[in-house]
Amino acid sequence: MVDILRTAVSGLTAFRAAMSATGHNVANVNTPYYSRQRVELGTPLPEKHSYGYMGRGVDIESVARSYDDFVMKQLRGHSSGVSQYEKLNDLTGQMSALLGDTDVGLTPDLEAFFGSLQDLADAPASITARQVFLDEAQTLTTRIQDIDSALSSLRDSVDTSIRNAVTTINDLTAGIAQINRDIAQAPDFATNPPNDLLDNRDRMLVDLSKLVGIQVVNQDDGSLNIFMGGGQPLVVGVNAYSLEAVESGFDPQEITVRLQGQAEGSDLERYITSGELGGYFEFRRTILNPAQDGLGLLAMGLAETFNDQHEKGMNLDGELGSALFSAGSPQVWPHTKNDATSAAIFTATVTDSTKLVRSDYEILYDGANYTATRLSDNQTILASGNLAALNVELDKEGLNLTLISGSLTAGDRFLVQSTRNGASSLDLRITDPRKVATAAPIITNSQADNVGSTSISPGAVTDAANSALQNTVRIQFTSANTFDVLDLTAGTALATNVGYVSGSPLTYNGWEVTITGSPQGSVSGSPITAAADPANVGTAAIAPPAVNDIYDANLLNKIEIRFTSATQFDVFDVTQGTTLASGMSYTSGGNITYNGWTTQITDDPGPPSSTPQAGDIFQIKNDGDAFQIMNNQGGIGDNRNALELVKLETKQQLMGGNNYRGVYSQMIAEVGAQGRRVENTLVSQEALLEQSTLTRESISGVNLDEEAANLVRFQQAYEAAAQIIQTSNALFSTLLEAVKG
Amino acid sequence: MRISTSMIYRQGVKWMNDHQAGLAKAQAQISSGRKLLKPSDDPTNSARLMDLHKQIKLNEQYGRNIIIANGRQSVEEVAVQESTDILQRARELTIQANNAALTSENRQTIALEVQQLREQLLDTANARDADGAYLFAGFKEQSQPFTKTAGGDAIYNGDQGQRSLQIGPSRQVPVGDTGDSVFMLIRNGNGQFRTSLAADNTGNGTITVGSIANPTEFQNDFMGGNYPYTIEFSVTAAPNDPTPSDLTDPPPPITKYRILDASGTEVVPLTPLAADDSYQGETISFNGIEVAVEGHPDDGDRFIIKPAENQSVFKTLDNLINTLGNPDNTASDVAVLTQGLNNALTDIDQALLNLNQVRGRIGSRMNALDTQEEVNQNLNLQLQNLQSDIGSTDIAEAASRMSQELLALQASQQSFVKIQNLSLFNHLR
Repeated sequence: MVDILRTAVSGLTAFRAAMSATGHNVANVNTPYYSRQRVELGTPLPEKHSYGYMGRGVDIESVARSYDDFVMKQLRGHSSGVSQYEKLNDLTGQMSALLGDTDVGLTPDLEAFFGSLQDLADAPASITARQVFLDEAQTLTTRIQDIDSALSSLRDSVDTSIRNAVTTINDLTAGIAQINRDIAQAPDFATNPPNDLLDNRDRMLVDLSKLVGIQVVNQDDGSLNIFMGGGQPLVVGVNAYSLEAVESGFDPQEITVRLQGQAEGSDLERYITSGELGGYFEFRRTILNPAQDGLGLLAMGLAETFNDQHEKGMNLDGELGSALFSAGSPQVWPHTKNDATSAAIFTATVTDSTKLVRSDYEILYDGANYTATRLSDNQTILASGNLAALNVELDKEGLNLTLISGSLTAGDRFLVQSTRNGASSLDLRITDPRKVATAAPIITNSQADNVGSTSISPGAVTDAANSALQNTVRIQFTSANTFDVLDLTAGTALATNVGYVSGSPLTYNGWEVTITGSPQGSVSGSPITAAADPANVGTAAIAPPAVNDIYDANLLNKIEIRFTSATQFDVFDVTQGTTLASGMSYTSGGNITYNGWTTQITDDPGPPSSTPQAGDIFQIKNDGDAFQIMNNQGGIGDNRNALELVKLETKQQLMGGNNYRGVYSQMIAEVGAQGRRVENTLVSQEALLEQSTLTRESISGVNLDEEAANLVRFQQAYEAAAQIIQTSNALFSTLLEAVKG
Repeated sequence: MRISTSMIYRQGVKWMNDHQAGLAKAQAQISSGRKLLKPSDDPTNSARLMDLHKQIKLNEQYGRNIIIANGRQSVEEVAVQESTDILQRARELTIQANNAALTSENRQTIALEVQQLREQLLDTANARDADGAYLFAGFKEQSQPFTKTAGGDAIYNGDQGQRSLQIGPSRQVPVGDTGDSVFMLIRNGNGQFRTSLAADNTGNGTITVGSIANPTEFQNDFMGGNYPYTIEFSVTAAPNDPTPSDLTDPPPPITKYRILDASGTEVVPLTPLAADDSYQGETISFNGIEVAVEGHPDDGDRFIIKPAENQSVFKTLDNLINTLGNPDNTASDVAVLTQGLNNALTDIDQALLNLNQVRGRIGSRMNALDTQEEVNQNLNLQLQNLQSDIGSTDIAEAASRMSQELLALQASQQSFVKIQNLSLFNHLR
């Protein structure tokens, strides 16, 4: 009788436990990473009787959880991927919004800037147009700076996120190590696993893998070892290894990660390729850095190319243009492990902004020679060579390095950031609207009395630094095929007897002009000639003028010597409309000297002899065509330099053949393309995660209907067992009654 | 497959999320009119779109520049037209003055009017545009380009700079002409050479403007020779004794000429004219040119021919004024007057020719502006079409996508409500 009771009680206990497990499942239907549990029942060893074996009811063997290690491993992997691309997607989206497109971002400012420049070219003397241009230039520089500082704060927020992620990782690894310890201390882990503890650890593992990609190795005692991508341990048994966020060896602005207590230079950045941390590093490396480098390149290129052309112009005050913009310069970071006593410090300068590449360069000194690597494509640009050889290679990238202090020790390393810093300090250096150089500093002119059919180009500045640029230069044709080039200001001949080729450029004193057509050479062999007016009444003759000063600016002016009587004459400069002298007394054969020449008027010896008569005129004028290149002082309506500046808008000269807008468009297109890749990858990663989550749910998840059915099942069994107790009680009563009987 | 309860919720929520995202995108595309909402939607076409946007903006700028250029050309054309009118009037007056019936007082009156015309022309040459900038000063647009000189001529203070405007991607047009090319650098005479009288001529012979018969000879011999050339006349009485019948009608004198260069070397030896051709003006040819002397030169009278020089239109009018002031007492006075008026006429014609050329240049530049404007507009149309093809929302497509998403969202919401109502616990009463 007792055996019936015992058997029934074992059933009651078992079903109550099963219902308790069901209740636990129902209670945890919404607990993340909870694995549903079930009570494993078994029959105890039967009792041997003479008639055979009699069962002894039911035993609770264990409380098991529905769990698949492989699925969890997949789930962790996909969680790493999803977190990585979620972060990338977030940051790329922010970046994309910041850079904008055709309507927002830098594009409208570039358009407004060049629009105002075109308007200025239409009205170069207008102070208003000049002020508007400067305002737009200011807006543009501010805008570029704003975008750059927004990129920098994005960089800061990435750094903060890296620090936060590292803190969370350390918390999680410490927690996992603690659970490892707890589990290892549980005496009968194999038979009675601490299910909820294990679930808890699984949840922490998933959380950890969201931050950084991990590999998990199970140990026999139930503990786990955790390693990162490159095999660096995070948790080994009961020990957790902490990470720390530190400044990179080169650039203190860049935060990287290494194992706590490890030596400098053992950055783990390159091993961390998934999880949030991987996302941050990838974003910084593949999206943020190229974009900020591109913006810097745009700023440096804009400043240099614009300044170059602006300096070739002349402002409203008649001065040569000064630099319009200033931009940042390349930075050189010595590595913190470099020898502290020799302490070599380099500076870098830009040699040609049109050759700049968006990349950092790592320079290594081996004790005798340098090795240089371009980091954007990991190309070795110099395998081994001295500083001069290094600069030859760097010049191809538009850079130059100078050692400014200290000396080098073998093993010293340097990081050159060519354009990262370019945009942050872009500024406008001109505030006075009169200082905008819209005019060209020189102007050309053909002598009014030229006979040949030639014309001279307006002239272009090739070298604004030439100190003789604005000197007055005369091109004097000595014959139809040859000319002299005379610098009147300096009083020197720049060239003599140059062969004339129509349309071929002539370059002197930092300018370039072309003369086209067929010039008339000198007939007399001298640059000036004198003649008595054929209509003269008197027959006095004028001698060919002797040139005293070939560099006299007025030498070629057309002069008329007008006789007012037989003894007096006036000297009139027809070219300038001025009277040089009046009421001069005439002496036959006397020297008449003006404008760098001397001539004589002599009575006609006759017969009959003749003196000049009142009204007689003698002319001195240029013989052989002449052209002048001179200072464009007062040429405030000149817009030639403004037009040259306008041309820069479409000139494809930066970053391998881009115009300014092109550089920016390329940045946007790159971020767009990266964004697209990230979006697409995120979608597929999410699908994978969804798949593994579903698989896990399918195995471990709680189904309330199932639990309800189980509840009913266990309840009924429990009731049946209770019924057996009652039956056994009835039997017992029956027996007692019979005995009492 | 076993389904857990949270899976049901997760899936339901996910589907609704997906459809809501699709719905939001379609709505954004429809309401903004833009197919590409962010660069990552289509990086390649986003970049193309930016490029198109830039080209359209640039084209708009070229349109603005064309309007400005057209404005400046119109102002200049008006000034040039005014100058032409003034010179036309001067030309009429010159012809009017060249009439033997006029007295010197009449000519003085005409001279007064020409003086007014010269002042008027100077004002026109110093014309300014709406911004107060001088039209004909080159780059020195803030300083008055023409100032009178003591002699009655004017000098040019401007420079030879010509401003250009960008009217197309690779097209610049000059706007305006420099003052010296319009008013100063005008070849006198017939444009190639100029004829004149010697001051001491006594006969009433005048010389025609002349023309070029052989350009090559002109270039090689005339221009290459020792100019100026002088035609010197020798007039001698007929050698044969006059017969009685001749006394009333004496034979004409023998008129010969020779041509000397500047050094006195004979270019053409003494050549007789046909007996009385000097009246009608027999053609005299040398060194590629043809001239004729009309009227009666006296013995020793000389006519001078030299290459044309630049002469300002002010100087031309000044010469005319001076000529008009000449007396007409003697045969030589008349010759000087006639020659002066003839020369003035040709010089004015040269100036008018020059103004016509300037107007022609203005016209062709305005044509070029119109053509370029058309080209720019066509291009703009194409660019905008392309922009719309690439970047604008296809409303029909987006609207139908939106209703699809809407339908799907409603369906998933309904099915979610249905499914989440199902629970066995509902039936355990």
